[in-house]
Amino acid sequence: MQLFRLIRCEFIKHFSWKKTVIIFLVLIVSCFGLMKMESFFGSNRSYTSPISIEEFDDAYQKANKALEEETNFVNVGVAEVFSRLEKPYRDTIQLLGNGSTESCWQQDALFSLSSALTRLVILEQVQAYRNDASFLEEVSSLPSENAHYELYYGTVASYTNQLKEAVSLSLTEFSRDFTYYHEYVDLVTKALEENAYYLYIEAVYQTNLYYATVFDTEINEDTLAIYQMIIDEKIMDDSNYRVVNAHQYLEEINREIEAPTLEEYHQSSNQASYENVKTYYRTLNEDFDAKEQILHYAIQHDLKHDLYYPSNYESLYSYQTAKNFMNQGLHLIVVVIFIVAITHAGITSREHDSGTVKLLLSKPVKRSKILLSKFLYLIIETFILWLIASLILFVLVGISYGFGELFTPKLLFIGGEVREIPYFLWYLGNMMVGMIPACFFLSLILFLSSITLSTALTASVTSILTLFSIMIWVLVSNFGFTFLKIFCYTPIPYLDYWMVAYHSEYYLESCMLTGLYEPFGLMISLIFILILYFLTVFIYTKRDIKN
Amino acid sequence: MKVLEAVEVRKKFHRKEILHGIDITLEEGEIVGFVGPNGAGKSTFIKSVLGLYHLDGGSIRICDYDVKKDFEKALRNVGCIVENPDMYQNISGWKNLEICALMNGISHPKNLEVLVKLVHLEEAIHHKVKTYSLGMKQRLGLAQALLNHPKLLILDEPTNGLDPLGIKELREILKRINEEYKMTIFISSHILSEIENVCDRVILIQEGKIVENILVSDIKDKNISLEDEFLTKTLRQDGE
Repeated sequence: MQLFRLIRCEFIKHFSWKKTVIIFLVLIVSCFGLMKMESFFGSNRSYTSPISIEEFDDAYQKANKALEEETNFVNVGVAEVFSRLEKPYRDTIQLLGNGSTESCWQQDALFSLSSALTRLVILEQVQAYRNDASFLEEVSSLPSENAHYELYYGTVASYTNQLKEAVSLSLTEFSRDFTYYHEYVDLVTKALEENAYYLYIEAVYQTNLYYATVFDTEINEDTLAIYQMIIDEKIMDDSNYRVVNAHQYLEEINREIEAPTLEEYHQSSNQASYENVKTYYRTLNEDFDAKEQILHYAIQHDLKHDLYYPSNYESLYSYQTAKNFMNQGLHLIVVVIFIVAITHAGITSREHDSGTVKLLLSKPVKRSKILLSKFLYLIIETFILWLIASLILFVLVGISYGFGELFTPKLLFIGGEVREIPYFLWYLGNMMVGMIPACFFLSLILFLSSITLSTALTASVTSILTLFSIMIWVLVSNFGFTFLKIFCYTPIPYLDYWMVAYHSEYYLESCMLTGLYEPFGLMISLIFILILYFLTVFIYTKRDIKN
Repeated sequence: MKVLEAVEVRKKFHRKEILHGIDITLEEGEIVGFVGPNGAGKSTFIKSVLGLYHLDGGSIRICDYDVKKDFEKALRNVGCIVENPDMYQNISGWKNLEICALMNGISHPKNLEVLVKLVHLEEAIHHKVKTYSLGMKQRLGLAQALLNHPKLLILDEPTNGLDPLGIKELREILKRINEEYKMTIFISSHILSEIENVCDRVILIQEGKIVENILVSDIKDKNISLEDEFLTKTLRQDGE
């Protein structure tokens, strides 16, 4: 009860409407900034077409010129075929040739269409001149690396090599290829013209079956089941969350990165120990497995997940969901600690400056209890500010992306299976765990304020260390400042615990260098908190209070 | 009952001894003055009583509780104003009193309004302390010192900055609370005339030693003023 009264005193002392409004505004700006950053690093679907309409026209003109000049049999054959193919594909290329598209699938389709058209032209050419001895002789004499004119996006060497290979196919193989590529090109063209995603997936489905036949490989039943779902339900757009789940799952399944062998390790300039390198790869693969399980569960139960997929890093298919944005609220602890460092650096020192310390310490309360109440006040205040920031973010995210999703469960892979946890419970749980490394910074504020009695020094040191805590992973892994890894043995880098606990790329690479993983961060934070706190109490209680 | 018992109290700062074995006893209901020249050790002694300084020797007991061993129980019986009454400037006088009440273990103080009336701060009590005059701050300081109905009230230079009316009001308040509550009051001051008007007994300290411990009535019987007695004693000490 006495402690509760003392904490209440701290709240009475430090509350002011002016300060509250300023902090509120800072938190709002921080939340906006966070959402903007997440959008910036999130899915970026501005792609350029692999071939412009000008390039297409240029290739067409070259083909016509070859036809007029009758330079050689091969070129004549291409020009004739090309002129027959031109119209439907020119329209398609024009459709997507203006530089950007919102859909990942249209970009994929156009890439595949360009190379499939190249193949189709070759096959049509070979079919037309198959029995012509002079054509066959000309093809066989073509040097593999020699130039022909460029047709589509495919390389010139690829064209001549494919031409030579197509000529050498048996009739059975040729017929099979011819049928497949015709169907593929027709289906993909139709998909692009009708803007129908499921038609494109039908083409991809056929491709899977074709390659399984040609190369005698196993068909991935999971993959085909997903494609079948898209085809059966005639899904027109790949941004539907179920489709995104499916695509991400397909990217995730059977993902594995092999750790280098000892010999490879010795040949590399790796600054980490071999044991750390192996642990790093093992951790990465465990992450892949967990993500695969979650994605599979999300597909089965028709749920949105919120696995973090920065689109340019791991997946072209990712959706920015309300939960993705809300999760970023766990990074706000850095902003909150910064605010607390500035506004509460004088938690003890200011009492000495103003003289109120005499009033405080001449009351029937031990100094150790007063210090404990100040520390607990800092913890409660920090948690409240973090909660308020999260609520602000909740409102902003809900307005932008809808509130509904925030009330759906969080999917976690725990104990070998996927579990559904109420999202807010998960969020609050992470906040409470994240408070542990944050408490190190709070104990540092108390220590510096009580021992140095300098508000300015306390604010400077703590706020600089707060900024340093988010920079350190970047400096160690991206800029090679490996001497900084000594700080990984302190609580400083673990402030943004969300980044640490969920294995950001920076964190993983730094862990490879130090061999230390997230439970270490919590443990070292607790140790440092206890050391700092008891040191503060020991020194402060022995001190004579002159002012 | 002995409200304050200081035995052989010693205190050093940077190897320089400030208090040389002070012995002071205060009985219940006394008003005792504590006078001495600047640097004599008055504030050092008072801060030692309040636990702001740690002793280098001796002991201090308040209502039979040792300040070092039973700090909370000892200080529960004390109200004090040390030097200028520094309060929290950016909050109101009322909130300052709330803080002091909470620190004294009073969760729901009922007598705050009575105290505010006693020190004549009814109109200003909800204003921020930074708007108060020095006299108002002194009165607020007195109110917080009386919050827990202490057995011992320690006042270090309470009339600093007060005008004559303020000094008179303070004198009347002190006499009233001494009579009504049998509160022991220990006043350190330079204004000897006020000490003479208010106190029953005067302790004179010089260079960290108790020089004299006399009843005011004895001084009056001698037909001399406290000032004369003070000057005589201090000059004799300097001479020695």
